[in-house]
Amino acid sequence: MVGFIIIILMVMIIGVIFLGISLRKSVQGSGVEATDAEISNFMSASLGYVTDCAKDYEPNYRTIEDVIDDCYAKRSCADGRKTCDVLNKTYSEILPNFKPAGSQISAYRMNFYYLQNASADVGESERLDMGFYSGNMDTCQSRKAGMTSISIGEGYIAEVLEVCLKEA
Amino acid sequence: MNTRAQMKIQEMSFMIIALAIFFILILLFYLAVSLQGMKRDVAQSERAGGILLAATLAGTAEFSCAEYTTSVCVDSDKLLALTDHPEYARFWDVAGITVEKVYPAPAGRKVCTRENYPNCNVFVIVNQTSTNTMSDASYVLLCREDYRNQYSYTQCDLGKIIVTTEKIA
Repeated sequence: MVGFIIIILMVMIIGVIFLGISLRKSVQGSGVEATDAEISNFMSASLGYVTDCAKDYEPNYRTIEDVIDDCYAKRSCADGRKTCDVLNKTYSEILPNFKPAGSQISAYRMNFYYLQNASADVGESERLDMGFYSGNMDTCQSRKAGMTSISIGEGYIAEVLEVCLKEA
Repeated sequence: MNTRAQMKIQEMSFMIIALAIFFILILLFYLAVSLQGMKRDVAQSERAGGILLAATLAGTAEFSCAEYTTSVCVDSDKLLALTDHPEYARFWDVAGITVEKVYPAPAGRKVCTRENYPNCNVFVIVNQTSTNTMSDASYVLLCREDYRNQYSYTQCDLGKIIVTTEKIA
């Protein structure tokens, strides 16, 4: 009887260790959850979108990628607007047009992380104070995430977008 | 003594059977969990493959921007030229190719022609005629040369290339 209990305990301990390892594997890599190909594709393409924020004179407009760099460096647009506000406003206008897998977005959260190198893990990197959100992600039932990164100076900025989906 | 020994053997065999069932249940649980993950990975991989197919097409010389050599940039002036040449449709051997402007998008669906360009949002490169088809899409940049304050600049909007292929029976 004692032997049986020992076997059961051993199996349970092995099971818990196995479960812990597999859960940890799924979280690693994105820092939030598994990344979705469509969202990452959307984010990579949107980086080149030309905003209405001019660098010095019109029409020397900045792309979203430039605006992220400027927001990180706390630079402003030629008309005095804060680049972080332009970033927030541009995405708040673009995201309602994005329908991943035919669904509409009911809430989203965008965070930025500073990476020492391109292969660094987002989960273990410094989160930058330039993120924004819309709606309530905490009560979301169906969420997806995507990630893209841009090169700045000696490091990288990873842009992580989490969206909450509702049926269109 | 003989009866007691028989009881012990019986207990032992019950124990072995119970243990075997227990391990089989653990194995089934493990298989169910890993198969669920595998199904999700296959669906994700299929979607990534579709995106890659559409992005590869967007990266060909007929579509891509001259300045940016990445597959995400599509020259909308080239698209307009292609819509004028329906004979080009045979070149790609697909059931349909459409490029849509996602943002900023004018209200309603306006197919691009020489008369309404750039105030339009859909370029029909290969007009889809068959019905038994499947579509793959990839987000791209739709870039064109524009003018402001007597300066020229490249205006890039957000678009989507949709490639339709015949389903294999």
